[in-house]
Amino acid sequence: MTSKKWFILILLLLTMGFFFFLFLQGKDIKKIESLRDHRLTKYEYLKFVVYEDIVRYLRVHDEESYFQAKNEVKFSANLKRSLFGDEYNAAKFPGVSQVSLIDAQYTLDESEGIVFYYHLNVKVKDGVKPLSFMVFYEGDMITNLIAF
Amino acid sequence: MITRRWLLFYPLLGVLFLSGCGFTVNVAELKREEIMRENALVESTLSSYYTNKEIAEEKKDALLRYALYGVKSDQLFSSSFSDDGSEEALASEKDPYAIVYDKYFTALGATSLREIIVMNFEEKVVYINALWDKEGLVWLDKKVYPT
Repeated sequence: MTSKKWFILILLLLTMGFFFFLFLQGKDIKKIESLRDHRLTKYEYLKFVVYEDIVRYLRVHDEESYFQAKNEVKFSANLKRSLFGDEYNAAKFPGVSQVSLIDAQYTLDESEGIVFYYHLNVKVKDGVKPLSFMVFYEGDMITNLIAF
Repeated sequence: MITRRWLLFYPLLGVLFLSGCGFTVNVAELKREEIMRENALVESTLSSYYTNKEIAEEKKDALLRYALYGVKSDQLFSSSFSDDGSEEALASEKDPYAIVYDKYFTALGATSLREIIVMNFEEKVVYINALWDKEGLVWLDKKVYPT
């Protein structure tokens, strides 16, 4: 065999070896992933999902954002009726232009669903103010909201 | 055309392939270390949660006496308690109240525990926001809203 053919053969063998080892590493990594502790995964994920809905509600400032938020937020029917009403009313909404998340936590006791706590800084007409929420989440939707 | 200079290429190629195959950088090992680190964080978060919750429940009465009536108890506070005038009394011991919610909060990596108590008095609602560590109360905030 010429040296050029040897070169190609060796290159081919090395490439096959490389992909074979990648395949073996992939199998190892799958096995290692199965060792991950998922006890807090659900809470950590939902913490941000629920936060997004809270921000959608806080940032309602006109009819367009009202209808968009009303369609998108996963609030229970009662909560939606109580917070959004049947039509846009500026007095019902805080009119927040910016929201910064300072802290987000959750309960591990699910006797009343998962309860999330958020501490926010919100920008309203007269400046930046702190705002805290307890948000009750049960059956894939937010069922209650307490602001303080 | 293959010349002797190309022969230098083989060792370089060999090193690149060995890296990809994990003999110089083992990706699986790095992944294992990452997962072990994250698992340790989950374990320590849960351990802190349960330990601090036990302390908070033991000292619940002392917390309420301090938060509502300004009565201090030495055993209530952690050594890192920050006193910012939270001892002001909100109610008299004769005022009846009902605890509406009493919840404990944590998050991944938290070493302290947050407790929020919502209480209904006759003419006001009181929110108590307390932070606990394994020694006791670290921080307290209270908000009162008339009903």
